Amino acid sequence: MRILNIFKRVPDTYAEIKLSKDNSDIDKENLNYVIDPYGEYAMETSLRIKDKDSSIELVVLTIGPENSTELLRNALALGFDISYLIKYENYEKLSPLALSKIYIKFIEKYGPFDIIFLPKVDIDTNFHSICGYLAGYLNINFITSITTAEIVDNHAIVERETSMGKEKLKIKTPCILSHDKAPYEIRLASLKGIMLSKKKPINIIELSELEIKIEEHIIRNTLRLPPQRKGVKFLNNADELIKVLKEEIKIL
Amino acid sequence: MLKYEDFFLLDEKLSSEYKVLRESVRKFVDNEVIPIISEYWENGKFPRRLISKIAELGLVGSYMPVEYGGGGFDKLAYGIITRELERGDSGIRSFVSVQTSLVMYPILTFGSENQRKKYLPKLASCEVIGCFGLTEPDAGSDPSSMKTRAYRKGNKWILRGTKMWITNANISDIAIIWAKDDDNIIRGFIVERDMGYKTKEMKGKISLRASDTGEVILDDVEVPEENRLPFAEGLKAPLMCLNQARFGIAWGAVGIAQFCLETALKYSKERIMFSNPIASYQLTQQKLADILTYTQNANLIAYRIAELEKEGKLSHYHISYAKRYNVRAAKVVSEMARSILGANGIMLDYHIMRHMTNLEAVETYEGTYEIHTLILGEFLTGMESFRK
Repeated sequence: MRILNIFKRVPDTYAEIKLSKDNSDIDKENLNYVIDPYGEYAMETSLRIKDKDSSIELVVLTIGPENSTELLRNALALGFDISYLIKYENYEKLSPLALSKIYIKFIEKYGPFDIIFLPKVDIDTNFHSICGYLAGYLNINFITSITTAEIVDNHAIVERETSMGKEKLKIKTPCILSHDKAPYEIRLASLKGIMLSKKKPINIIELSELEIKIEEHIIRNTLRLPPQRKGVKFLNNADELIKVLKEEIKIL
Repeated sequence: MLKYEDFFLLDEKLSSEYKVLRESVRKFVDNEVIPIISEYWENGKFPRRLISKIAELGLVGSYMPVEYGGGGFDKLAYGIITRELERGDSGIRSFVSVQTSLVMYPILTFGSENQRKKYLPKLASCEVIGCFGLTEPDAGSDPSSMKTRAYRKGNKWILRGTKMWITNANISDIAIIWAKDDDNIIRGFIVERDMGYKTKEMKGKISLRASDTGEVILDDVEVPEENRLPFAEGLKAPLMCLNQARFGIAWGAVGIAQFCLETALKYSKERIMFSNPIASYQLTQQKLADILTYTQNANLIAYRIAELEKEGKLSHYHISYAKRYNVRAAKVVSEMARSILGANGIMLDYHIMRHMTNLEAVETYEGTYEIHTLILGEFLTGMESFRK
């Protein structure tokens, strides 16, 4: 069995975001990039599946500039077996459709995979359609926003949370699963894992190798930071509140 | 753009394995050490619950060979581990320093093959916790004046004496004990708890409160000859161990300085006084500039000693220089950061003053600031001034 995890390289979610001088993009120079948090949970789920059956091969893929290999090194240190980087500097300008086309070419060339894990949403662009695109192109089943997954006889048993409660679903492999926050902690790379990762390959793929032409669809004209919050005003009683709502905010 | 955290672009020198290691240890410290450490520190307890995770991450025995359960890494990895751990607390770093450099290292370096096989894997996995007994109530900076004796009795040794200020003493399963034999030669022994050594917790510390410190009492403890470290002879052996640990302390101090720098800078930008952030005032900026300088100087020294070690050019003078300067730098930094945080600076919640008081012990153990000063004095002048 082979499992593919695709994660997105995104700015550190704790980073303080600043805009570039012409406001056309965020200022990337000082940003630390990390594995997207949902992709991280998906990786943990794959590692848990492998904990139970070490014969499973775990493959990890991302797209980005050459230094994305540092993130792949982390995945290998955690226990992934093979890693691939599709080298593409301006990957943040690719639409979900363009990204999906690239991933499909990759899967056709390096697959097949029994399960493909994706983050439920790319937290940088807030797109979440890749899961559906891939399933459509590859003509296989998919479930979005799962929280856990286990493998039982060519099926994945997954859990997901809905407004009506938790549901448990069974899906035949091959399948695509997009991952939500998991109920468990994400493991950290151990020294032993880091040592083992030195022997595992990080394969860098040029886009030309995938024989695909891609347009950068996303053009960002202007970005704005959210307005700064104004100070808090303390009111002493309900009368004052009514007065403020009537006279200052004018909603009464 | 230049980042204050990596002012001299040392990250460029790190390969991805070391970056993964740094991130991993940093996350462990952020998620599991910092949230709980103040309470343990306040209660004067070592957080034993962290041991299993420390072992799981392979943070003990990082530079020991893989065949003995070690990490198979070099001293740079050990430096990064100690730096990130001490960012959390000196007590946690001390635990790893002692287990790695003062217990595993002497067994690896001065032990027999049987001893290595028997003890090292279990020490690496922390199934067995060790301590290092050199210092005594009346023998600190001058360990050669130790009173602990090892009397030969057939195929056994009888150990008699008291060791003091011993990190990990009370939680230890084995103790590396240094004692003088009948010919006044210092010998090392691996003494197991079952052989009969007693320990007593040292209470009332106002420094390193989250570290286990105790006395080790050897009241005619019988140790078989097979537990003597066969290749340790004379004071040089324990001093070699201390040099390993001092390397980690020099790195660890950088972790504290980095933590203080981050905390003081963030605080000063957010703290409004006289209608402006205190970061905008010249008095604060002078402190911040000093903090940056001390921190980066210490970090450069730490990297350089790791490089020299790799090239086989590291002398004990470098280690004395690094331990002496870096710990003093961290102390100065923590004091200045404390003052930037004003009254909040004295609160456990902000961690600065815990670091500040820890550093009093760190500056004293493993060669006091003064002893390292004299080592450098001897290097410069060729004249020893330790004793009259």
